[in-house]
Amino acid sequence: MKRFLPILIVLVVLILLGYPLALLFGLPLARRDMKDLRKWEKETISLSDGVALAGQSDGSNTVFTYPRAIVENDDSRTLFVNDSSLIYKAERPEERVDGERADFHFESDHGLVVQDGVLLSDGDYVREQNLIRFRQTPPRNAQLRQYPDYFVQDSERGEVVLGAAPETGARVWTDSYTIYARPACGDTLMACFFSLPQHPVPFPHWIAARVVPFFQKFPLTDERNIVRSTLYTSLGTLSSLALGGAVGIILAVLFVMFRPLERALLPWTIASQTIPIIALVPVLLLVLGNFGITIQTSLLPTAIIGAYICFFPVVVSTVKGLRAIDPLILDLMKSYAAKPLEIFWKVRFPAAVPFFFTGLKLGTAAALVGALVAETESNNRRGLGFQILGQVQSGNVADVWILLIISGLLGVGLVAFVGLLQRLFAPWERV
Amino acid sequence: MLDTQPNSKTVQISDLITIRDLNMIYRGRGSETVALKNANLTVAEGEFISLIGPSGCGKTTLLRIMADLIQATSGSITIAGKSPRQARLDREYGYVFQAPALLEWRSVLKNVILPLEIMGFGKEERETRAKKLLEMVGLKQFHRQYPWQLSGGMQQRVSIARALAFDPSLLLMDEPFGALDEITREAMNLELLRIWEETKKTIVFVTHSIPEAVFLSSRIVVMTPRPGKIEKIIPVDLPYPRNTDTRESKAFFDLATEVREALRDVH
Ligand SMILES: Nc1ncnc2c1ncn2[C@@H]1O[C@H](COP(=O)(O)OP(=O)(O)OP(=O)(O)O)[C@@H](O)[C@H]1O
Ligand SMILES: [Mg+2]
Repeated sequence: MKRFLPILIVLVVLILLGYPLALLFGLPLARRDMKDLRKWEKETISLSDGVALAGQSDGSNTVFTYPRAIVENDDSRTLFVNDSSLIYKAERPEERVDGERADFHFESDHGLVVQDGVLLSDGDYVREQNLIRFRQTPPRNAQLRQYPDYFVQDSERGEVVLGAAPETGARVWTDSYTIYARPACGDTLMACFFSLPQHPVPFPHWIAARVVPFFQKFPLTDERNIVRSTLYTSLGTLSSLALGGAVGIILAVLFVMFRPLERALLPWTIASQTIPIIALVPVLLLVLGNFGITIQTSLLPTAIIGAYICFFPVVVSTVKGLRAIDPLILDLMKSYAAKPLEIFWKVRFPAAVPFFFTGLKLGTAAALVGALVAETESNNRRGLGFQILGQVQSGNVADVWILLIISGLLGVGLVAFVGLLQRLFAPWERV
Repeated sequence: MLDTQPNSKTVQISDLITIRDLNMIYRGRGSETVALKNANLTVAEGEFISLIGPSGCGKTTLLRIMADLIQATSGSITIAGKSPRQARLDREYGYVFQAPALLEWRSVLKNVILPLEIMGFGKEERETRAKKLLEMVGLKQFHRQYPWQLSGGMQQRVSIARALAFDPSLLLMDEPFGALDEITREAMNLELLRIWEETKKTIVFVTHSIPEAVFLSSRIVVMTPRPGKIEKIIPVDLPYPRNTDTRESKAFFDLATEVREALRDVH
């Protein structure tokens, strides 16, 4: 029980930390939602409410704005000047703007010309009845439209531009328009926080609530089942450790036995570790794929990738263990006239065992990363790597967190497993 | 005082160790330590010789040269008529180091068995011998423990049992009882004497304790530091077998005083 207490404490701290973290990362998003007009609820105001006036003409102004209004730009009968309705009808854009032609024909001989949603000024073109001739050829694939009477310049701010200034004193108004009523997410920041569609850091109990459905998402018969995925990834990591551990021991022994070999190979060993795994994995998969060995059919690619990263700490640590022998013990063996092989098996090797496992423990986390990366880089549906990638892509934040926790627990579990092996193979160590 | 006859050509069969004009100079980077200067010593077969002297006077150095763990700078040394190297290869001696030097991955029993494994003793004999020796050093019930579970003194006793395990005729012991309490130490002294008398071993024994040296030895070699030299060799004419009464005799006190004075002159 006492041994699990630290783990328990860490767990409780992490859970307690989850709440402030959820707020820390979620509240800015909630505030953004609250301020974002596009996410406000809309309310349609009709003429009878008496607030439909956009403004009165002073004889020269062409821009009119409704306070906090949205003017839907597909309604051709929203705007009136005094009693006459204005026509808002987007013309079909010219067939194609090929970037070479400068002349375009529109249906009517007056109105506003818009290119890619931006109102053009008179200086940009010359109008000759239905023909509009651009001074500068519009860019290829640009969208040109003509609006006969007016153009909704900013539908959210309720800003409309009239083609011609109405006579002095004329009222510009609509029969109905929409205003921003209130943030769709709620009246308070907390309400908006709780109504966020995705929380980057969900509350721990939300994650907890997802656990059971998450585990039930796929039946055991499906290879995407989470238990099967976890087993698959642990199997990949364990085979990495077996391979990496074996290679590590062999290299370490060779290095200690033949110094020149160490001098020749150690720089390469170090260099091998500087290649980023993410770049290496596709190449390795490709090479192995040529021999018909794929992640779909075999654990070998995962094992090789994991071993590639985890053998290095094993070598370094084991070499240290093989070398760090109390000189007095070497004297003792010398006094027995022990042969070099006896010294190796009775002294160097056992002395290196705890060092080997220390190296292997360091390599475990790396091997797990290797296995996860290998899984994400192949189009394999098995393994936690695939699951993580899938959940990230489909935006299931809570599920991503569950996977993160499972991966973390798997890492801890695998390290503990190596520790157990260490206890088994090096029982003399004090714990 | 020295028991050497440099001109004698005849090698007495009873001389187990012969040391002639032995010099040992440790050469470090820019420094030289004369650890032994012109050491001459003959140890007869069956003798119990103690080396005593202040720290750094070359006792360990002398022992290590005998054991062929290091080589002297000049001078000659023979062990049982052979070079130290040959004597080592023939496993003529057992060495008890100043520190226990146990293999931490072996249980107490397995540590004692280690030399027996290397020297090719049969499986059963290994066990019986090791268990008997552990019983002798009072650690029978600890044979399953690992070294770290033992106190320093207990570890040192394991290392003594280990040195005795293959029954070498020569024992080189570097302060074997330094880490023991007075009572255990005296018990171990008696035990060592018993083994020595029973098995007719030759023992070269390094100690810092004057009573211990007097109680155990047939001769005491007093050494001086800087440079390490053999200053004086004091024969101990106390009859064997010795026992607790020996410690209380007048002769014992007189000899202790003689050694103490020889050591005092040294300083
Ligand atoms: N490996 C070494 N390299 C250099 N100098 C050494 C080495 N071993 C011992 N010495 C020096 O040789 C001298 C004698 O050392 P030695 O270990 O023989 O002393 P000692 O009599 O055994 O001392 P102690 O009673 O403290 O064990 C010391 O001055 C020491 O500094
Ligand atoms: Mg010493």
